[in-house]
Amino acid sequence: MAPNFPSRRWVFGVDGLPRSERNALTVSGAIEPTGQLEPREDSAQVKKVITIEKKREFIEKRAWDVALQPGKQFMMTGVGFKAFMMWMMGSGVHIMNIIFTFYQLMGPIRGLMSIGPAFKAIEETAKELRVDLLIHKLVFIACQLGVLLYITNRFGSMGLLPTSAGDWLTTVKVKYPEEFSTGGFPM
Amino acid sequence: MLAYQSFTLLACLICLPFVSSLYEDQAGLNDFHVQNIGKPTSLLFHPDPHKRRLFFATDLNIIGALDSKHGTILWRHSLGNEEINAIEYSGRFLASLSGRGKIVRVWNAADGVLIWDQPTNSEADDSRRDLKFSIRFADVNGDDVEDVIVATGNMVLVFSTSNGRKMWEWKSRKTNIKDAEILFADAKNVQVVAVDSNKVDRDPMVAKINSKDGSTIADFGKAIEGASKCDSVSSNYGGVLACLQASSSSVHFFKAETGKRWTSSVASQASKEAVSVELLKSDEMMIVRYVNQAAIVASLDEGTAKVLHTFEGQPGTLISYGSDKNGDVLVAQAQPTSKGLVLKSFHLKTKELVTNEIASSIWSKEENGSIEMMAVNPYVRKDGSGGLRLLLLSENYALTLFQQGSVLWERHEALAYITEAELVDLPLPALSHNELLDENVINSLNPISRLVRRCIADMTDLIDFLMKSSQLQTGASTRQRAAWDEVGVSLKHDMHGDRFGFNKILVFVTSPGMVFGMHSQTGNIVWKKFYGNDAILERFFLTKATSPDGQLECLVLGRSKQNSGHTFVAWMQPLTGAETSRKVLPVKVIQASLVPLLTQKHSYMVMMMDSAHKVHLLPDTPKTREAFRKRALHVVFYLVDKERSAIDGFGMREVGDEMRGEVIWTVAFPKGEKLLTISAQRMNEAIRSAGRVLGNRAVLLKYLNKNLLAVATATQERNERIGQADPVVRVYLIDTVIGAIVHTASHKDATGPVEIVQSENVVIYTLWNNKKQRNEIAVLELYENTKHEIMTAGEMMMYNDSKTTYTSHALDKPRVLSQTYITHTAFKTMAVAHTMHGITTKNVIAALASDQIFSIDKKLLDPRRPIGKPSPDDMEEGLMPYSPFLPVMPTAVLSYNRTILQLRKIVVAPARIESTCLMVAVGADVFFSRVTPAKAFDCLGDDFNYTSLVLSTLALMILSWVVSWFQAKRELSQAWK
Repeated sequence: MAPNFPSRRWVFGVDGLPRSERNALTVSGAIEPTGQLEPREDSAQVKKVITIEKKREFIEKRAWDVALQPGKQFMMTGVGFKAFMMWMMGSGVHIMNIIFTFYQLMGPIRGLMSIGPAFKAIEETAKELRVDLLIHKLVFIACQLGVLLYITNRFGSMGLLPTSAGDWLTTVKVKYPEEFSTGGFPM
Repeated sequence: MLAYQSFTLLACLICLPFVSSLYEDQAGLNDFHVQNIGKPTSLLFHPDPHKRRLFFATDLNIIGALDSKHGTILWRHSLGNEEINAIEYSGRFLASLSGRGKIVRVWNAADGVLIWDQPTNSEADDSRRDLKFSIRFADVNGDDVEDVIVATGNMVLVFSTSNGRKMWEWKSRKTNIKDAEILFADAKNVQVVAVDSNKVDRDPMVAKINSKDGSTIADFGKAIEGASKCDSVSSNYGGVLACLQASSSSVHFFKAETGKRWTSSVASQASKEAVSVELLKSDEMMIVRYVNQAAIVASLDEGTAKVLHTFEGQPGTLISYGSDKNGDVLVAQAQPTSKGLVLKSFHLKTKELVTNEIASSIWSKEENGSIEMMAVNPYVRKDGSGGLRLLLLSENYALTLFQQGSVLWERHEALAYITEAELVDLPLPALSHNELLDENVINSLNPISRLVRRCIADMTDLIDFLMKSSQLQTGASTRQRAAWDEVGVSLKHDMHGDRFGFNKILVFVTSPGMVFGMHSQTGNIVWKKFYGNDAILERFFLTKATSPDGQLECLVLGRSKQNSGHTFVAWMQPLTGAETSRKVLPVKVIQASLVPLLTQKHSYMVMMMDSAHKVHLLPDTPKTREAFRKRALHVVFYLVDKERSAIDGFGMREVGDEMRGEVIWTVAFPKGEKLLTISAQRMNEAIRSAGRVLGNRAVLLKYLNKNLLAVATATQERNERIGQADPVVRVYLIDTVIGAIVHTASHKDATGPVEIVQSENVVIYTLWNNKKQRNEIAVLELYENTKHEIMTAGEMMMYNDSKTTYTSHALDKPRVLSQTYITHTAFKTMAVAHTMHGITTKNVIAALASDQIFSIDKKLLDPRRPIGKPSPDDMEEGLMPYSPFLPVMPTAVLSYNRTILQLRKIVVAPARIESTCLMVAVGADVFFSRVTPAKAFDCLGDDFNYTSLVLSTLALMILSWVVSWFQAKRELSQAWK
């Protein structure tokens, strides 16, 4: 017997869904052999109906993923590889360390800049489904700021931030005496 | 403990990369060393002219030998404080008697190796300055080897020349015999002549001593019967004693060997009395000198002396004689004239009189003063004819060797008596750069035009450099006269300033009255000027140190020799030595100082106080008076009185038309406290930072007070525990504006000598620890008296006020940190390496007791050095753990293997680049060197490989060209496929 080919249907409004979900919606089981009038099984015939609710739920989940992604990413790589790198570099002030930390600093700043593109993929769908992404965006910003704070703190611990008295010493002018005195042993 | 010590050592080694050591081939590249001997007191020519040796002993207690052909030093030794009394040469040996007749030394005459030294145990009276000492070579014991005979005080000693064994010693029983002189010595007996020290009755007396064992044969009989009073006594080694009686114009003789006595009369010259008689050492002749400087050479005949030659009397003439290797005597006379100098020499055997005239460009009374000493060296040429070398010591301490009337060489020994030294910048050649260095110009330009201007200037510089390097190849003849040069020194020397500021003129003022200008790159004397005829120089002020047109000005100040000690002032151009004007002020100035008040652009005025406490200004114009009057309230003049052990501060008060000093404060030290030394702040020191950043990045604000005077005193303090007086050294820091003692440091069981040096907020001084018998160096660092360290930026802002000046009346007492270290050697003097902007660490440059110059890293002299294990903050700050010993690292010796004899003073001046300063050390010698306390961080080192830079750049260029060619070829061939 020839193998069963999955039958596919045209389904609309599933963009933005992961591939597995999409597949589940479009594939509706095996094609019945030609001429067979009665369906073999009823259970295979269960129609998957995409409800608005489900879509909304899905978009919501997606939005959270995007919002928490920088934090997660930092936790994953940061705690793993980067932390190891930072630990290896130490907190001493030398050129490699400064370059590395600057590179680290660029990440969250770039992330903050790219808040639009990050949510763009789901923005349209979310609008359609009337899902409010504001809270997610705020969380996204908070996450990026958190990472930024961590790296700034690191800069501080390296002594690269002008927070101590020593950094402002040059603003104190060397003063000149008003009086003039001179002398010595008589000639 | 061992671990801790090794940790300390390790820390020292790690923290000391900044030592200014140099490679062997760099010696003498950026430094020079002028070796001097001082003013000779005795000069002995080697009888063989081919040996070219001239032995000397000087008043700086240096003994040695000069090359008589070139005037270079063959060898020399400094005997320190031991005065050299007599030297004598024979064969391979040079013998010296020193330390007021107390020590005999025999040196190898060829290389100056000390063969032996022996004490004489002489009891010569130290208070009498006119004592005679004599040392001679003679074979006493008949073994055909010459022995050393020494007469000192009332003693005669004989030593074996080869090993210094004392053969015998003879002592006069007469205690009033002080001036013993050896009259004659041979294998049979030694005869000693002595003059009774009793001035009233100067009887020459002779004693005979057995030369075998030193026993007395005849003790001091009166040598000359009937002559009770000798005006002048002389003896030669032949055993003849001569006594001149001026009143009767007669010379009494006594021959010790035979006991023969005779008298001969010397007629007065132009009715002038004879003043002295001198017997020639190797001939039966005498020189009689007269009041009017005339002299005769006469025989020792009985009756009337047979006059061989008469030298005309002229003021300032000097007569001396010498003998060649055949024993022929030549008497020479040097006579200064208006046209220069006339040298006359009279050969005793041939009766030939030779006259040489020396032009005034070589020797003149104005430039050389009077003649102080003359050494005559006649010699026999290979063809048998006679020649004459004449060494003249002038009042300016110049040693000039004349050979047949021409100058063979000249030495300027006044350089061994430098009292003041100053470094004067040579003006920069390119005016475009001067302009770009001027801040007003910089501020007026926009960045783009500044860049364009700079590029143009750099291009001109490059072209200049290329032109100049071709000029260097063609030699000095193409040198162009500088615009400021009216004398022509810039034709003979490279008088262009460089952008690094290494080219300077070192101006030296010396105690004989010579002022020198020396080139810092070559060590050559650029100009010299003699003031000894007019004044005793005391001070030097550089009143105009910079000027774009090179018209600089300095003045020398001294006591006039003619006008009963009135103050003498002369203005000079320090680059050429040309005197612009001079005058004698009708007052006696007791203290003078440069005042930072401008009289015109770049030019400062000099303030002086006379003995009546009246204040004078130089230049004294209505404009300068007005300028001074405006600031007079803020000027304080202090005088340190060593006898009273007090310091008086004088404020300025206007009395009518003039300014007067009025005592506004007095700091009198307790009774019995002796004032040792003082040290004031440097007026022109650049200070970069107002505070010090600690390891935790907190700040200690420096206590900066330019009017701080450090005074060291010594006293005795009663120790109650053991009930006896202990010596104490105290160091006071006095604010000289208000006379307030800001801080006192007391060192128990310490004595002087104390040397102090101040820089910014640091006071460093050395002393002697009497109890532990060691040298110590202490450092005080002064900080603003804040409650705690300033930690945060916010706190820092609170201390940052908009004021740009401070007044001593409002200053708090400082917080003082101090530490003391042990040094292995005493420091004679100290200076601070200060640079253009004051960013580079200010190392201390110290003169070691061994006459070497040592650079002490400021990190080692840091009162914040932690005792015990350093904390992370201390490590962060770069503090070395405290170690009581201050290491003397050989690599930090700036004078490398050279010894700067009798080092007295170190003067430092910044170069134009920040990393480097220039140092000149003076003593008997002059040593100049560059100092880089933190290495030459702002310029490429001498060892930078320019060739490899150029080659690798070229190689890369060629490589990239080759690669692009291949690439093009490949692309073409691929397109054809």
